[in-house]
Amino acid sequence: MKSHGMRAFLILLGMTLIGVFFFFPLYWTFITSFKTSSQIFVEKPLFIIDTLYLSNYIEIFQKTNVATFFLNSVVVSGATTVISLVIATMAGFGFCRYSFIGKNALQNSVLIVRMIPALVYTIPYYIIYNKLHLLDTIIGLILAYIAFALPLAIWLAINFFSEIPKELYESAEIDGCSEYRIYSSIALPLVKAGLVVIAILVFIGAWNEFGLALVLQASDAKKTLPIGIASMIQTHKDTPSGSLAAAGMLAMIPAVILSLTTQKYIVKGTMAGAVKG
Amino acid sequence: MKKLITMGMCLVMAVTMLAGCKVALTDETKPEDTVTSQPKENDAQENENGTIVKYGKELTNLSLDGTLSKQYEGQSIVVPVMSGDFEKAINDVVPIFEELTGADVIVESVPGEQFTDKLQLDLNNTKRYDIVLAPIAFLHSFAASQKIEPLQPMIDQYAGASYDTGDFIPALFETYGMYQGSLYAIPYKPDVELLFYRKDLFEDEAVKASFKEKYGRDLEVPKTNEELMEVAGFFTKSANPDSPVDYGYSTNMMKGCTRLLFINRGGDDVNESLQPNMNNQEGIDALNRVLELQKYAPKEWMQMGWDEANQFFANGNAAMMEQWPGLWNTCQADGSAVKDKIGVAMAPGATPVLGGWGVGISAGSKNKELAWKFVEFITSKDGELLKIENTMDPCRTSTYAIDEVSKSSALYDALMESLKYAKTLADVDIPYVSSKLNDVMELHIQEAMNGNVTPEKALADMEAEFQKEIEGALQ
Repeated sequence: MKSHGMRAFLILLGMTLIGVFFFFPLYWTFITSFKTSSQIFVEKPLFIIDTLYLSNYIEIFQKTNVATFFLNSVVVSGATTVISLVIATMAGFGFCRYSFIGKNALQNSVLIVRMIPALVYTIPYYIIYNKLHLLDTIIGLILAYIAFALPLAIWLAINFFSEIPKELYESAEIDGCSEYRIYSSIALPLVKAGLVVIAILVFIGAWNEFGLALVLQASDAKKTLPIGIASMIQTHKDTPSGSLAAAGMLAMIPAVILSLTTQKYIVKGTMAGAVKG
Repeated sequence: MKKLITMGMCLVMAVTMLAGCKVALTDETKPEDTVTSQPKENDAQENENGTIVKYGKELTNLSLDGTLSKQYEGQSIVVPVMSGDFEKAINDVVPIFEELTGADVIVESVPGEQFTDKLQLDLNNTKRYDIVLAPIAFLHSFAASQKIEPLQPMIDQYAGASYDTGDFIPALFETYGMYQGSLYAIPYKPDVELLFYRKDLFEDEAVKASFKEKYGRDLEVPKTNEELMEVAGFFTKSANPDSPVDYGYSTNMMKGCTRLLFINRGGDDVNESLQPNMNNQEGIDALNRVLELQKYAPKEWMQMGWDEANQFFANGNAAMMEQWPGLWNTCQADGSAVKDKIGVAMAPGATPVLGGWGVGISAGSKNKELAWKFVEFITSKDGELLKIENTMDPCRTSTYAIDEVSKSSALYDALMESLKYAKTLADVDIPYVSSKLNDVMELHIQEAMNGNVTPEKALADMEAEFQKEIEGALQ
């Protein structure tokens, strides 16, 4: 009994230490965003502050286009997520449901796109987009992000759809369901948890993406949040740590909302396929 | 239910934590603008004729001798700029230029760290950009690869009659603008490393007396390397326990900065024939000075980046620091222990490292005439006055001669003096391999500083690698 208690205590201690390790940077960003510049660069770091200064938040809204960047990020990430989900679920459903010549090759070729570093595509994208007049457009960035998101999304979708017993499809067919009806009314609701996982991965990927947005976007009206935040740092100038922390806190909002609202689906989705039979 | 309880507890914790804190909308101690320019702001005014007045001067020639009269209606140019001060400086003048020319100027800002990458991407591929506003070593590389346009034909053909290139500070015009005998860029922002020193300590009677007693001469701001070592030693606690500060000297050493220190101490990288020029007696002396300076610098200085080193100095821990002009703002910020206690001078030894930006025209520009008029506008005598308050210091002698301009910044005297002597650029001035050679220098200087090799060996190795890289690049 005693050793059981000790074991539980050690586990708790270990988990607390790991928790502190992961949450401390978040906490540090949080309090830095409320510090004055003279509180940030001090020899003895201030771990607790008695006044929450909102000046960093006010400053980023007054001196930068952070609201526009934020809105652009929401639009780009949201559209990328929705469109990728539609395409990926249809593709995943198709790969699971039908047998055709070259199915495996096609399925694997989807992954190849994912194997090439994104940086390699950047220059061709820049040149092609320039010719198509898609540079510095929201739609252009969404298209590029969809192309990058799809391989992983399709593979995850295949995995989730493959969990559905074939008998269900057969029953639906006997009842006269069309293929589209089977997809939309039977398959999709059954992989709801999986869809949430795909959506979160695609959304966060698009939300944080920097390299492509840097190259493809030019004007402030079309930039996304990561580019806007990077623009706050100047060479040969002090880093505006307070403003960066405030912008970082804003950038975390969607991730926090997503994780709080979709927690149960994430657990279900990530567990999908773990137990068979 | 369980979820509700958890969320409720989190909310209670957050409220409890926040309730213990006061909330303030603004930081009353914070300066109006944390990235203010060194010069005092001089808001543009218009006189009764509608002419803009800046620094007490009427800007009567913004139309460039009448060469701008809305004749570019319907045309446009794209100007890429580094985000921050460059962006602000260009955005401030664009409406005036557009009004005068009728043209559209599209300003595209790029984050600082990625700016030159994106610029190169465009110059090598799509050629959307018309204007090239970049650090000097990059402009020289672009000139070597014919990515930017020679400017003298532009001046001959399109410039207003009073556009005076002879008015630019000669060293700037020569170093920034000329490449292999041709003019490729016009100086836009001069930059040079300066010596910041604790004026309060250098003027303290007790400190002065102590110095005189020890060295038999008056304490003065060091002008030579020998004086620098002596004064740095005097202000270092480990060498002089009576020192009022811990260290005599500091600078930031990360991201290629040991190379800058080597140049400030008299070292060079390449000569005019683009051959290595560091493995000689001057180079050995310079590297030995760097090693000696280590004794008077903070132990952790090799890990100090821009922010850490500046804050270290602003906290009052060192008597002197060599840095780019941006340090001034850190020292003058509220909360700084050295606010209003700082003096500025040329780096001791009179070989300050030279930075700076110039402006040219992309060879791929489809509208070179309009692009030139923009370059001419922002670098004209009147145009210069429109950029100063965004930390774009003047490049023209006549601008510094304006009383209100020269008084607007505490740095200008030291800057002007330094620009007379500075000749070695902050980046090795060899096309295509500039960054690589910066790294080579950095590596070998650090090898010597760590005691792994002698200065002679470090410089010989550096020279050998330079030769190899330069041969490869210029083949």
